[in-house]
Amino acid sequence: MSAVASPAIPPPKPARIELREVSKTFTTRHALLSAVGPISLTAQEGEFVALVGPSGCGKTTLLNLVAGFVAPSSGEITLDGARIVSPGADRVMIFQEPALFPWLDVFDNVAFGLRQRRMRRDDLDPVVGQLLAKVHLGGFERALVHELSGGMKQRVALARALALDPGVLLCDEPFGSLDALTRERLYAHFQELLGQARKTVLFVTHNTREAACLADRVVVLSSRPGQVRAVVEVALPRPRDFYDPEVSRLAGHILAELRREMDVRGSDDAA
Amino acid sequence: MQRSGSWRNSVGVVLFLLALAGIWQLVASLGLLPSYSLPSPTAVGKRMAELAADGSLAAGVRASLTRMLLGFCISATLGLLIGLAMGLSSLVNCCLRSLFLGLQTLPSVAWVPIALMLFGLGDSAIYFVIIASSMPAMAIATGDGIANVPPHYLRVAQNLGLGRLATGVRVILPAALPGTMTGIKLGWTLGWHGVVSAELIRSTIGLGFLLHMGRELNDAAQVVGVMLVTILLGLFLDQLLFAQLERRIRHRWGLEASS
Repeated sequence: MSAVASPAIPPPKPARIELREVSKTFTTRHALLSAVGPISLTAQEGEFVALVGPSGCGKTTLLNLVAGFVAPSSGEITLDGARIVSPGADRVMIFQEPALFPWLDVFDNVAFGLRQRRMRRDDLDPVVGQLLAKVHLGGFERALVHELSGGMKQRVALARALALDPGVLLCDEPFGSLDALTRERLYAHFQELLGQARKTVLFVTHNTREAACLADRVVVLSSRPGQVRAVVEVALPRPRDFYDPEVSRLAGHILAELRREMDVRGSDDAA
Repeated sequence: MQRSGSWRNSVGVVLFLLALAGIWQLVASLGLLPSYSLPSPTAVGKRMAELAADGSLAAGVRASLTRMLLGFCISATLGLLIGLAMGLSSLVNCCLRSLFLGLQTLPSVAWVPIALMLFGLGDSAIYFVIIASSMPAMAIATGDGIANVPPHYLRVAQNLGLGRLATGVRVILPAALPGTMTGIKLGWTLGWHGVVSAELIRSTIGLGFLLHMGRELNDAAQVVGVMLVTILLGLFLDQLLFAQLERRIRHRWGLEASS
């Protein structure tokens, strides 16, 4: 991974994320809406933490808080001990929608953040080429965004995020809008990528099997306002197969926790 | 869009236009209407050949086009700048939008009297009409394009470490381009209305002036002929200047299926 890092910037270590008694309240037209918390959560350096929970439990809000897009109403979020006050390229978010820029081709999308860092043209070519090779999109440099399939777009978005070599990846259901086959192939890609470059990952998903397949630790959140309901450790060797029976067993266990939560709250949302 | 039928459709359009001309010729030949109110296609063709031969058609076209190009450039510059301000400030947007939407309800010809009072009989009045007719539409489209940039683009920009200026230049402006382009195209059409309207009422040269003279002299063939020239020129310029560009932008931005 160090070969990919811009020469000017030393490759960052994965960072430790800590949320202490964090809550977020939104003011709607009618009332105050308590979206999240109070919640305390830690992700160790290089740890992959999946967040699962019923719809509307504030999972995405949690990511937005860590990303710095919104500020917490109370509590504190720190990255390696430093308080998060604004968005930064040390925590790159991968959205459900790949949100690529259609006026740029694949190469320029991946190079987008690097250009902002004033990487020289000569350095850009090999770096972007390596990144695209990593996400198995070598040769697609000049393709336009709308010429790509959903899975390819998401891989470009991944390459664009990894280009900045952030210590933290924040993933908001990145595979949620893809078909099952594409998704399963991406699980393998994603694990391979993270195997090469250790990142601290916060990964929001609805899919309990996805969580069990990818995460070191799965945090089950309660209905709104989201709080930690249960924590499931996943101590399986990597890379994991999506259909591994152990993955299935753990997914069932996580699902049971979720069901119990929804029975308690009487929610009818599917997880 | 049914692409498979596009060849058949083009033939259909040509046949339709020929049929229309045929009916026109037929009605004119039957003498249902006097020739001074409905000229036949052949009479129109003959009159236009005369106008072309004595140079007045070319002079008129040249005059209208020169005014249009200059007036439109001023108008587009103003429209884009004002639109930019509207896109960046919701206060500016609210104020100017209501004003512009109101002004847009005016047909371009309704700008002519006040233009003459403000600027007298020179070409300035014509430029004023072009700008007044076309600028609001371009400003509104540009403002909308900027204000409606998908929020997730802005989040990505923020996330990848772009400041406000870089976000504006590298994300907001390109994201707003398709909408802006549509506005510019609309502005061109409205400006074309404006220039002919203004010339119609007060000018000594130009397509509008030729229309006016046709009516003064009860020369229906000239009136219809100049109308046709105005239509054809408008279509041609629209295709030449904007349609191709707009199509290419929309294709690149993935706003329509590639052919």
